Amino acid sequence: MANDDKNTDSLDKRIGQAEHHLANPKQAHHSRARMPADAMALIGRIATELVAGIAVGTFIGWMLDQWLGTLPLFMIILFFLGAMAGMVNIWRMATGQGLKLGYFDQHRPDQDNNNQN
Amino acid sequence: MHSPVEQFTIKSLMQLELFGYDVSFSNSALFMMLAVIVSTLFLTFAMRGRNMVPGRLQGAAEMMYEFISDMVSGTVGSEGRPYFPFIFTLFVFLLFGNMLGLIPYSYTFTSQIVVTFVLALFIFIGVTLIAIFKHGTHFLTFFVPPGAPKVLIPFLIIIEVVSYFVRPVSLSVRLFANMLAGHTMLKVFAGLAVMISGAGGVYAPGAILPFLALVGLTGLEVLVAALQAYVFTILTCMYLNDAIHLH
Repeated sequence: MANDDKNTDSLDKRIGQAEHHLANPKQAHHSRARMPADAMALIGRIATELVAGIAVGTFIGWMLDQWLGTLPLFMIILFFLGAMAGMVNIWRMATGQGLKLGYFDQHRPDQDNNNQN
Repeated sequence: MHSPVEQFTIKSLMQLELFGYDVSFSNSALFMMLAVIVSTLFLTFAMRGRNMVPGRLQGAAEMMYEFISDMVSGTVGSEGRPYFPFIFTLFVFLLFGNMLGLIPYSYTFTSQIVVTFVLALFIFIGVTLIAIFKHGTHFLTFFVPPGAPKVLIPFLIIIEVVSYFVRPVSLSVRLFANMLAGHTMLKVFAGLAVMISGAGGVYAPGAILPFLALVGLTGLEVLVAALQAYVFTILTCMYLNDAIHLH
């Protein structure tokens, strides 16, 4: 075929691009809503995050109570802490921080290069 | 009329007992095996030509591979490469499990909380071990959020610890709840269509409405099946990223 050379050329170019992409993997993936599936996936996460926070908090509290013999005390405290943990998780998710920890202002330039995903 | 949740019953197909435990081969186990076999056959068969210009099947297989490969390098970076085989296997297993479950008369093993929770727990423990081996005691700083006021730190540590332990639960509940709700809804609408048409006479044509809804819902369930496999996988990648990079 006449355009064989052209095809091989563009293939070489694409292999080069792919290798460059593999070498610098994080470059092309900064935008949060890269694909619509990401936005769709967020919908289902919010409710589960809240419920799971309360459930896990209460369970840890109950385990502590079983161990220390102080039945309702830690269960009640950790119920509320669990609810807060759920809220914190949702807040992080909604502000696009993913699972990152911390309470820095997101617009500070010295934070921009840290752990982008 | 069957109950809409009857589809989730575990039936043992072969009675087995090991050291006093019931390890019967159930319909759930059968479909897990089928998911493994079908996905292995699909990937081997699709890639047998190894053509430079892929055909349809090879294109589908390569698309799956590239999708997960991009996901791993996008969320974890090049340090994530050693974990790629596991992530890819996880995705393919869940995707085929969810999709096989949509075939009538089949069984959806991802609608069992035990299955999804054990998967999530395995990932949770594995990721925690990776973090401990990579960072040693430095791993514990993971629970001290940077940038917080000093007075609040003890309080925040507890919240961070709880939110860390929430991970396996929310990871497994999300997949399980989506599959359970979706399949129950399908069965409810199907039952409604059968009941209305069974009423006969002037009511019978009304059965077309739940039937049309059922067609739409089946389409939605195909999306949910793929989406939930994706969500489970990308969250695994994010946990892995946290473990490898801390913060």
